[in-house]
Amino acid sequence: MILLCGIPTESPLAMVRKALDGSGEHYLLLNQRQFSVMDIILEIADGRSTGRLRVNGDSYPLEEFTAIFTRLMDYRFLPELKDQPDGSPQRQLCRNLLDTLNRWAEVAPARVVNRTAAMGSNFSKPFQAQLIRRFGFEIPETLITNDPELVKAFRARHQRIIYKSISGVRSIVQTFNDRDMERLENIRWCPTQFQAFVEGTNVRVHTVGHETFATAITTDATDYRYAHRQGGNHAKLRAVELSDDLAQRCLELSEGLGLAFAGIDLKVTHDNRAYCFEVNPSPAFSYYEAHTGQPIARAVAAYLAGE
Amino acid sequence: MSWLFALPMPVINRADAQGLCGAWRHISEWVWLAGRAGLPTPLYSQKSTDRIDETVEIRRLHPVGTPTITAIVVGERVFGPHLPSRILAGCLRLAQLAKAGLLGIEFAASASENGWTFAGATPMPDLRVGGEPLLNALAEELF
Repeated sequence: MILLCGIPTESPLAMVRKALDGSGEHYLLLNQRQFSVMDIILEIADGRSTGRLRVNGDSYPLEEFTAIFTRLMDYRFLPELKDQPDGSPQRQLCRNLLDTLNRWAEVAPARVVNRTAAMGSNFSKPFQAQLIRRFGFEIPETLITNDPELVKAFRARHQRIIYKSISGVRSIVQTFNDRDMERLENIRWCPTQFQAFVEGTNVRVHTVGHETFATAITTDATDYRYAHRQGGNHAKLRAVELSDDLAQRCLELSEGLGLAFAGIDLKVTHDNRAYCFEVNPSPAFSYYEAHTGQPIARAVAAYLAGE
Repeated sequence: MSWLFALPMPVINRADAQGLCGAWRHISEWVWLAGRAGLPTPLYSQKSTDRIDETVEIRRLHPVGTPTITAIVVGERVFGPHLPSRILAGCLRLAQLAKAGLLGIEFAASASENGWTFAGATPMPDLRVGGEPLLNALAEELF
């Protein structure tokens, strides 16, 4: 049986669920917002995990789950806990439930999309960039600093540079302009990542098991996810084929990071050099599938089903 | 963390997304790995109804105050108490599984061989346990 964890209306989870319905696979949907009707026991002995998950009075041995797809959100932001004070029994129950689920997923002999430890590299972009480089991808020249003078010199050398956060917290990638120069002193309190701008085509590659789905994005914005906000037209997405070599490198990168499912952000230059900016371990693939019709959810469902 | 990871020289327990001196694992993962390494482990149990707040308190395999003995693995060598061969092999295997060049492994103390029960592990052990031989081994790994 497959376990789906998260909020059922969240698009990626809903799409994987629909794909599983279509293929007739047996699954259990664990609605995170209904945590008060669930409990879980995890036991580990001799290197083997066992236990049981109970939902609405129905009990499921943990050993029966052969795959886990998790899109769990930070429990502190659940509407059900909005009015609960810190340390309330409800908050504690929810936290302990998610913690026990996560602990089990880390050691379960199942296909897990994705394990927390494997997702860790995305918490620091410069750390992940070093891992990415090992798999043959180019990384734009990068400066991480809180020294405005170094940024000025970096800009003078590269002419066009972009900036973004260092952490895994989503930030909007921006082109550094003259207005930013006026507030550059602010970085003294917030080390920031600057990179040489790379000309080329944005390509998002989703890897699922041994499959790849590549989407090219045409945009005049620095960050295509926020193309309209950055004053341009909406980004245009289209499915593209990767060369065998690039597809293989993407698969090796995901596997090397321990990710069964990943969203790899590339920029492919006119002379076919592939720069990699980031590997997202919990990709919101629904945006790409909705625009291109690429069967990513179906591939995730097939992977969970053991295919 | 990124800088530590990038250092070109030999580093024992290179920085990892889970910790600055190698992966800092939860006790559930340590006991799982220890079992896979062939070390005797106690039953680990965790329930969503447990009354424990892990933001302020850590889970333990044995009650607070249980006497423990620590062995330290450096590369292919084990320092600390004299260990039965099966336990010694388990320590080395655990360090391999954990990808740790330096690993402290705690056992609940007991007089008999069968009493060696895994109690925890850390990539940042108290080096005093191994004395001069341990320091020499570390130096060999680094230079």
